[in-house]
Amino acid sequence: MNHLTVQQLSAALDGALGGPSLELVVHHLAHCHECRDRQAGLARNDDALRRLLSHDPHDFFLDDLERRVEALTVAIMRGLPVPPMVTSSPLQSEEDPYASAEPPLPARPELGPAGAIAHEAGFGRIGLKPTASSQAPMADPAEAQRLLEALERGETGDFTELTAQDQRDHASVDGPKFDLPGWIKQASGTPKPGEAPRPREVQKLELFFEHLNDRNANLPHDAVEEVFRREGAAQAESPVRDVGGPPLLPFRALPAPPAPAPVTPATPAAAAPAVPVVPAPRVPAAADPPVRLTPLGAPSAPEPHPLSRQLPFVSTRPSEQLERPDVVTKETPWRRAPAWTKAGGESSPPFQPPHQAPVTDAYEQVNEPRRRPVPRVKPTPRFAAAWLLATASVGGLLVLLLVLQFLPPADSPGATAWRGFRLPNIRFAPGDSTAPLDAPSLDPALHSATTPFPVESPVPGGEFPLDGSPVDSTGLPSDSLATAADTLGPVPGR
Amino acid sequence: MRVSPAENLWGVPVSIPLTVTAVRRGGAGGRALDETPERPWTEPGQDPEWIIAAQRGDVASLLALVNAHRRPLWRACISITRHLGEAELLFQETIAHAARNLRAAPVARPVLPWLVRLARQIENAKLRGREPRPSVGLRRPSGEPWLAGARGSHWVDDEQRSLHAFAQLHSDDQWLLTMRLFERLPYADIARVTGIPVPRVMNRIALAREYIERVHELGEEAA
Repeated sequence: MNHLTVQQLSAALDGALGGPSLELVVHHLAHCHECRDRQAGLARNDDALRRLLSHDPHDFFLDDLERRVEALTVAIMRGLPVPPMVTSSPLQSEEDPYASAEPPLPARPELGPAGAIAHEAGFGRIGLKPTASSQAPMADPAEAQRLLEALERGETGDFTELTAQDQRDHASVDGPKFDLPGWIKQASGTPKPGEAPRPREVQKLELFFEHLNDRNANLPHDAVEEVFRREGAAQAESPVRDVGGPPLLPFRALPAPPAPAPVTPATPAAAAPAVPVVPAPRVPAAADPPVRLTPLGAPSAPEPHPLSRQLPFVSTRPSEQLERPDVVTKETPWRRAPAWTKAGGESSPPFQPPHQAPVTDAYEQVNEPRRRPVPRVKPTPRFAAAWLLATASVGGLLVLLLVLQFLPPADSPGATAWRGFRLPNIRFAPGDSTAPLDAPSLDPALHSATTPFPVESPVPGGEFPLDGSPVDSTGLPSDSLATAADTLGPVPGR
Repeated sequence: MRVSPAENLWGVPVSIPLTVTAVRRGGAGGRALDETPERPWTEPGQDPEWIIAAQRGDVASLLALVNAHRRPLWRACISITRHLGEAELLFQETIAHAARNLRAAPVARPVLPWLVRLARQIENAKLRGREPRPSVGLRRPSGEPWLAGARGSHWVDDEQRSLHAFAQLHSDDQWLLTMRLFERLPYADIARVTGIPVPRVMNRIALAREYIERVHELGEEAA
């Protein structure tokens, strides 16, 4: 049985057949389930591609896109500076692979720092399991009664440290179990599957009682902590401590900078012609603005929120990435933006997503090749030390050889305990340029550099007859012609 | 130049040239530009008038042309780039390139095939010498997440295999399938737009479908 070709099936799908061809295909499909399956597969793929690629956006989207195109077109046709191209969604290279599939939740500034911590821990986010159990631990009434009785008797030996272990055993999991990312487990101390449980780590508390001098006395607790934090940060940045610098200025409380003013609509005359206006991300207004401490006279720089040290952020510093090679980070502004800018902590400058930033500076620069920055190799101190050691070794050896050249050798008269060393006298065979030119050669049959060339033999002088008569070797007229035998002389042995 | 305040999506007033606004809204005696031509791929419609006016420097005519063909051009950009953000960028680049090269625009023929050809050339020029885009992105080409919902994960797998197979096709075959599947053009119109004979159009579309089906089967076997 001959099956239908893919051309027939495709044309039948597109309705391009007619007449006998259509009758043949219909008749075959009515009896051949294999060809029906093939045609169903083709139709399924067509439907999938139509669902994926036939994007039919709303008119609002196309209107907004057309406004941007209009700005470009007007600028190009009138010779004005071309505005940058802006996209309302991130480009493929700017997408965040860790972004949630769900739209972001609205900020809850009324929850304060606790809300920020809970948000980062995963509470209230669909698809992300909280790092801590959301259920209270199970209680044993008999055990509680026993402990209460022991407490009344004053026996505290039965009390053990309250831990959060074995909570997962009691929690009823209804649905698929989500596995947490590695960095969350590492940060929370949760053992990975197949890994031995580690003992609980008590959070370290740094105490700085010994540095509390008169300068920092009579300061509130927060101010003292701020002093120590800054000193620790300065010490971490530069290993050299401050020696005799100006003393720290007294601190005063400064209110946090006010939130940026909302975008006020510009007047039509002042606004740029048809340039798309990108809405600034909403900055939640803090109900209780936090207090920042800065030294008097010093410029107030934005300080990181104290919560930022507790939140499970992934570091973007290259040095820290090298220290933790298991952490996979993505160098995107989404990651660089602290969470408290979204969760309602301290007010921050408006954060602009990358896809709302201009894609191009101007249209002329679109097709230019993107240049990659050439990485600069900075020599490390260890490499510099090794290079200095190698240079010093070679130089010292050369100097030693030079000094030994001027010392008299051991077999020379006047030699001292310091025996000299001379390089061997090198002679280049067969001729030596240092030898005199008239020195006899060892083998006269061999030509060497000292053998004079034939052109250097004296040219016979005297007057040459112009009539063509023969002359001898001295130039005098000869009566007989010189033959080769006369020239060579008698043959020995004849 | 007189300007007329208008509002964008977020309610912020922007300034648009009065002439453009009047033409777009059909006021001031102009014709409403929401009337898209019935057969924009094969019939020129008002394209020659707009092109001639735009070549003389009339910005409103060029914008009217863009407005008339924005939806099929957007679909073409989506099928070429398979990404929402990249399609936006390609759309703007195409119109900007067309505005710079209006003298090369066809006068007696429909403009939409010329615009799509520009878009394909720009995309090929951008990807020349670089790594190709991933066939399946982090999200759907429409920007939605790959969530299966009630249909099950195999639904998403089928879509991703089809999209991957489509991305592996030659750009000409991709374009033929796009005109057939998304624009729903008959073979004769596809041949007229692309300049390829009808039997060859039919054969290439059939072979492209067979290739996608074959890649689909291989993916299912591997799974």
